[in-house]
Amino acid sequence: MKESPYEYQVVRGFTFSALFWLIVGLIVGLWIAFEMFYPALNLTPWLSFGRLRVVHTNGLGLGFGLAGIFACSYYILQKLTRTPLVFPRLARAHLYLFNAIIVMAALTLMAGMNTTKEYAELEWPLDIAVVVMWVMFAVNVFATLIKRREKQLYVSLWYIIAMTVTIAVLYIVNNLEVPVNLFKSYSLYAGVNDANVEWWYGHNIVGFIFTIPILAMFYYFLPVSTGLPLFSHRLSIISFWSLIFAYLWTGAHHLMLSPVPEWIQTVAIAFSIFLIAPSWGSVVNGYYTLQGNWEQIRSNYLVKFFILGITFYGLQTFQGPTQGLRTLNSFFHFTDWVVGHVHMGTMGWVTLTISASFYYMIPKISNNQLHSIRIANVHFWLILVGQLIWTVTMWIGGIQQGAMWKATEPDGSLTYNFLDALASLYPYYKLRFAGGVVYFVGIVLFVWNIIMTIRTAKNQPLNANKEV
Amino acid sequence: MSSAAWSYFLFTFSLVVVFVCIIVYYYNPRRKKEIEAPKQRMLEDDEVMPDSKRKGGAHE
Amino acid sequence: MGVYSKPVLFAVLSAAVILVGTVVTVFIPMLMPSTQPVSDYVKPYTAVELEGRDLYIREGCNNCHTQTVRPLRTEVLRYGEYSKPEEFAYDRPFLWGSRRTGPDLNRVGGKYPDSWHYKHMQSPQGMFEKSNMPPYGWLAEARLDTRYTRKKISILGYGYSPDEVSAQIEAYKAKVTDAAYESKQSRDEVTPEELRGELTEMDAIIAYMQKLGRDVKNLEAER
Repeated sequence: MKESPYEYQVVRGFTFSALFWLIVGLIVGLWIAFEMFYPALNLTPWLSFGRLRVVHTNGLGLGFGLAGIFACSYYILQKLTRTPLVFPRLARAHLYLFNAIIVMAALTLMAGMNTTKEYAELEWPLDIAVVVMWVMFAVNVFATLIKRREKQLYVSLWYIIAMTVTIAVLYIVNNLEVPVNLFKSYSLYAGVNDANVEWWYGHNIVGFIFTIPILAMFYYFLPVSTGLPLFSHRLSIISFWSLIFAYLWTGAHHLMLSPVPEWIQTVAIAFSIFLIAPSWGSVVNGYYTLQGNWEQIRSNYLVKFFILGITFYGLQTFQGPTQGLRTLNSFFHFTDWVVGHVHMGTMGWVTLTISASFYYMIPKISNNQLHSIRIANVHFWLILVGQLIWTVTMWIGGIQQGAMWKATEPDGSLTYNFLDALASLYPYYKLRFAGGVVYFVGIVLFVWNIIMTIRTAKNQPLNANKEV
Repeated sequence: MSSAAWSYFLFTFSLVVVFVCIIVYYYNPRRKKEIEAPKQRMLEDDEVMPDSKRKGGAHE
Repeated sequence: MGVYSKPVLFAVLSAAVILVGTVVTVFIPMLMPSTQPVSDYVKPYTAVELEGRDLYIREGCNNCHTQTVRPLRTEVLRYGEYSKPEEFAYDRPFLWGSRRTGPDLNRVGGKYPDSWHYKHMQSPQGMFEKSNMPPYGWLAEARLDTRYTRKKISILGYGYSPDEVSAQIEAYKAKVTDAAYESKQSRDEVTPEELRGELTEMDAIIAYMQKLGRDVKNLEAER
């Protein structure tokens, strides 16, 4: 890209990486969804559910999610600072190291090298590589911010800074472990403390990967793709500080009614409820940005991605705190309801927002127009419908499962044994798989659309200023 | 009230005070123009080459 | 406008803001012994149980099985006495899990004889037609690797000497390979002939299953 002084090669590299890991992660997801009602699919040790589930979560969370975040962060960072990346070669090394880590992660997890701490399953040599990779990213972020040509930092940059700092703290503290050999280590913490550290990490890794950088994308790409200024910058200030303050207190809502001290659980409930406020602050900011221009939801194909995305974020951040309440938690915890909750966030909010961000960003950096708006629209409807089938099925299944676990006879004995409840879920598991297939087809269209946009770029006249 | 209840109350109360202070500070009409400026700035010059103002264009 | 034009200061301020909740809910409890109490009645894992636990970790059993019984009436009815903090003093990492596709295992020790576990691990569907648990027959086809057991025990600080570790391994091997072992028939059915005189991974994971909740049950029995 000789035309632009910005470093776009690494943005494109991370975009391709994100799309690749998205497809891989979803295929693994479909495979384990099938195993849930057809256990004969556990063909070999490395294809067994216990090992493959973490390949799915790491492949999509770290592979797809992080690559999408790096792509968009490098783009947003340069645009909002009006400064090219200070160390473009370092950024390219970051890209290679990132993909090497994800490949090694998939292989080692399938080989059973796994610390079991959710979303931190990688063994210690890979943990060190992740920290090195993160430092490479942080160096570019801060160097570019310091060298910037735009005085004020816009909201999106605050979120990128907060992510950079917080992920480093979370990752290092939760992954402190004592190596036995190259492939095996033991956590530094024991029992209750290990659980408390893990869910402080687990909850906040969701917050600072699936919320905060995605909000950075939302706050940047919604205004630039609509041409409408953000509704309120000062509301975003209040939302930002209260969000990052309150998030870190809430990990123990994953450990409700467990042996973790009761006061930690109670404090977590209180802050979880409070978190509705800053979360909805961002939702309100998004909706009101479109005030008076709602016709764009029809005329601008990107708006519906952002608006549905932020709507799922709003639903997610309401559903989450309610699940944390002790009474509801005693019913829903450990059931498929929670699985549905997670996937509304990831398949709804995160994927819709990253999709739209790529749709805006890739034509811009390729000096091209999007390959097909029509395909983008079909992609939108397929992933929306696929996600809804998926999540609603799991919520209904979760309610049924919770009710069957709790059902008692008049004499006080249990009505159902454990297997009755499991067997009753198989129809839902099949429907969930069908929803996943619909979603997957939508994602294949998305990947095709982006690849075609980049591939046809060379044949198109350069008209960078033309709006999509 | 027990001492634990008091400490919970005082902690919550002080957080509310901090929260209110932040809101009052940022929603002060005198600061509105300055605080809201970046949201307009980020929409400007989206495709302008960053070097064009200083060095007279980086086009090749 | 102050902090919004100073990225380094902004980063420092963000770090301070996120550390408040972290210190109060994670770091301070870690320094309080009451968070993770230690009781005499809870015994550390033996060498073979620990190797079994590491296999449970390797196979990702925690992705479908929890190990915390909550203090709820139906849960205590289904699984047994609810989980206490002191039970986990030797658990690195903790294995509470987050999803119950399969039942909770915190009280599974002593619930079934070893023979039940051999058959069930080999073919969950053979025992329960509608189960969706993956079969784990391959565990019986692998000799248990005990090369690192001494190092593991010393890292975890369980207090056994290297000789004690070897003695524990030999004792368990003697138990399951004995002609009088009460689950001999089931073990022989799942174990290839050349490994019947050895300790297999299957033996170790079953030893771990039988340890889960055993100390609590022993305490109840004493009372």
